[in-house]
Amino acid sequence: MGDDMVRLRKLLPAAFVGAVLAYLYAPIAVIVIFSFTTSPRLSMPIEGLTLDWYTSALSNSLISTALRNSLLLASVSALVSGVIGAAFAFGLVALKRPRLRASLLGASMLPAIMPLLVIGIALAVFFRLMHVQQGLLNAAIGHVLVSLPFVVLTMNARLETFDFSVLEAARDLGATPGRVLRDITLPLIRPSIIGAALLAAALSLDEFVVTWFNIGSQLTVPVLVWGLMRRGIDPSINAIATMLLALLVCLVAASALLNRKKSK
Amino acid sequence: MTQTAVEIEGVRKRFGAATALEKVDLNVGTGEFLSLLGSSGCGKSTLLRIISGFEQPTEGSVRIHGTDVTRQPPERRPTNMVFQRGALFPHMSVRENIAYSLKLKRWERSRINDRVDEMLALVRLEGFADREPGKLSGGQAQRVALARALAGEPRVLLLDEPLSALDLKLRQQMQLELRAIQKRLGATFIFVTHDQTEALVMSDRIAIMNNGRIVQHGTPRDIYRRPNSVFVSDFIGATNLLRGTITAVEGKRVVLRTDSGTFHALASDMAVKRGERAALSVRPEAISLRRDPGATPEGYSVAGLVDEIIYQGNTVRVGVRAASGAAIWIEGRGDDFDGLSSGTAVVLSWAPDAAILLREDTE
Repeated sequence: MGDDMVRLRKLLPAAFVGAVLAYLYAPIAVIVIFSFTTSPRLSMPIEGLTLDWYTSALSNSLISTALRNSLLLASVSALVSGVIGAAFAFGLVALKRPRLRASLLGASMLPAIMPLLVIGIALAVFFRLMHVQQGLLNAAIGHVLVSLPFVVLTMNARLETFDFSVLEAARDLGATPGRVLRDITLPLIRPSIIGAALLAAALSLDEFVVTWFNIGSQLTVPVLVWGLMRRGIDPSINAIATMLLALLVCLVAASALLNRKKSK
Repeated sequence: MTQTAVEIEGVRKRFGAATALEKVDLNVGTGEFLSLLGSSGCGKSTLLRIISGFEQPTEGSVRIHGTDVTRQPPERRPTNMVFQRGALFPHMSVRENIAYSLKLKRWERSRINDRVDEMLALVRLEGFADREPGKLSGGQAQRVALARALAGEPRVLLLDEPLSALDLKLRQQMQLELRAIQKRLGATFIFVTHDQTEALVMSDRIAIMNNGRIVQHGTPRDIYRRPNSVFVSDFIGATNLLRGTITAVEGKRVVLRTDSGTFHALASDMAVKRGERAALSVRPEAISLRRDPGATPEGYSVAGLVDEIIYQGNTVRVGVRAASGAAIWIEGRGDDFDGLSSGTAVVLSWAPDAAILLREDTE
């Protein structure tokens, strides 16, 4: 009986971890699995496997428009947030006054914990006051706003360990400030900037709340899916979700990899 | 008189409300090895950064070989710097690091390669050209940093505590190497350090800094033997300070009354008055110790009990507590103090010229 108790004690933690992981990933796994099954309904057992839902998703012109818009917004977020965030973080780290640095970092982080609903509504009201029509541009501005704090945060973490004396060494050896940027600064922080930009793209791809309040009649993948869901579950939604998931996993993994590389 | 390499005139530096440098004047001769010595925050690094161009003085000027460089950016100055922790470019090989300044000067490739090889030989790292900086030891990285700074033949080399991150053995070895390289090239070196031993070992001349001022400069021997203030005598080497009040002045001879007794001293070139506060500095190695009271030289001795004996290998330090309670340290060869133990009654004495009279620093 002692043996059983010991075995139970050993099993219990493993079972707990398993339950938590199942809780976290089971819904996602269900969607991925059912995006490949022949039955149009979510039911067990699985009758057969097919790629039909993917073909129907990709041939749907609404979906391809939404996908194009989503990729456009993701690219804009990556580019704009990446450049602005990197420059901002670089300036922050170079600041000599630690308290000013901490408060500026805090101020740039604040939108990250602000409810998206508030940001979305505030932007919509703001654009209305400025007499700007809702549309893709508004959504893009919203996406940059939402992703910028995360870019600043990851760049700041990377730059904390950046040895600024190499920049002075280059100046000392005869390089003009422009030359230092080209020869030293950019080669050293480029992987971090790209990593942060990919993160911005990932955040943009699945942004829904701010987009929905500002994009007007245009579509992105999350906005379209939301619309489709109101009419009932179509297995092609599973296919879209799975593609989105794959894209996000790739972006986040690439981002993490780039940030780890050269961070020593 | 050799030509002056660096002339610093009336340089003052303020950071906001704080004053980092207070009217510094300093000349460095061509081919001279000068150390700027002081504890952290004394302004030595700020002075070096003003010479290199990374900081602008609030007032005053810097001239290098006659040219006023005060407003020149660092890349246009004929100086190069060795940074505290190397600051090698991590994405470039050792060769590319050393070649960087030459590439900026648009030297031909073959000439650059020859120069890099020459520099690698100078710092004894011939096989290391293709290494990444991340794969070098601390000592090797500092050698590369030195080679990189010297490659462009700067008229003045600035070194900002380049050895402080190395362990003691390696540091001592690098001190001698640096000194040898400087002698061989006949170059002007300005070396910042907080380590007094390092400054004494390497320098032709030392400038000691405190609170943003140069408080004394001279050869290592001058500074050690003739400190001009309590601060310097305490900072350079160990010393015993007997503090008190001047009770009599007869020409150069001065009588100082302290808690530990009344002592005589010579006021070499300093004007002193009766009633002034002053201190007597006596180096531990200048004091001799006897066990029998006998005839003690009046004014140059003090009696006490042995308190502590510290064995240091080649030398032994003995702490003696005077009747007043003041601790006086003496230092000698190991066998000088055989047979002493805690509580032994002893008499300490020194030669008249071993005691240096110093005015108390006014803070």
